[in-house]
Amino acid sequence: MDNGKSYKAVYDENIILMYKGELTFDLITTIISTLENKMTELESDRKIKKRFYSIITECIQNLYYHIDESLKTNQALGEYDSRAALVLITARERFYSLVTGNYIPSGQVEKIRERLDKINSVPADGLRELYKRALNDSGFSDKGTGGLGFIDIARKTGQKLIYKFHPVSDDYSYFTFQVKLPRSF
Amino acid sequence: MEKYYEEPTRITPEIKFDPELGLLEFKGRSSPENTVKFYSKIVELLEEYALIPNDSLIANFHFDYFNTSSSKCLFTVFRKLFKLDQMGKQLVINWYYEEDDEDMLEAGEDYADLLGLDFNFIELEEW
Repeated sequence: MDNGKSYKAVYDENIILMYKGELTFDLITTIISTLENKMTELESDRKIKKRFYSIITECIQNLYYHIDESLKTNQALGEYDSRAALVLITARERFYSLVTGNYIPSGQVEKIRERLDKINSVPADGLRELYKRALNDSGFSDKGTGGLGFIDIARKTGQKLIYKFHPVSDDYSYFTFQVKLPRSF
Repeated sequence: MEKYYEEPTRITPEIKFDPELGLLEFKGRSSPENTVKFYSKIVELLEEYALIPNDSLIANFHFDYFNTSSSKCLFTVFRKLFKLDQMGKQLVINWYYEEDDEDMLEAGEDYADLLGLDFNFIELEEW
């Protein structure tokens, strides 16, 4: 890639954060805190700032919790790649965009797709009820996540969840997830 | 029963529990690495509190932010409070939220509604 061009792309597109690599809990805590400091400069609206913090925390922690599932038998990808997560956060004129990417076992694709589609099929004013039901009904997964994250993100952004599954091998797929947080409500 | 105190960090709230005064307080943010483990102590203490003679509890929730996993754990905490309420103990729940933070207000309303508990919603200008 032309170095000059990549420099320009990075600055013109207002990339707030680009990261690809392994995640530890300390690292994600530092990333989130750095992003929070950056937001004090970038965003003056307190409500948007709070929602941004909430969404990035939820998404990045989510990545951290789910990344090691693909570790166990994933020799085809190489250990480093299979553990690597991708986070890209940009500030656009009308919204903040957060994209995450990670490998998942292909066997989980349908379950995740079903969950995301279900949330996307609910109108914005029905998400609160969906969240309450999930809070009341379901238990914890073995990782302590409660299945509320995606609903909360949809509720806080007022946007449909954007995602893609890209088959990598019979066993693994790459999951890309995008959240758009409008800069005004 | 002994007092319990948890120092706040960037990702965990301050927790104060004084069984003698009948006071429970959470303040700050909550997105710990292991939420279930983090909240298990206070859940245990509330179970113990239900067994000892006392007649009231004031519970203050003063959160700036909590993640969805903490939201589940807080629901478990509220279930314990609900139990105290059912035992006929006098329960006061104060839910603080920063001015205009309707997300935090709604979160409190959802707990109150799900368990049929009375919350005092207190909007604070100075956070």
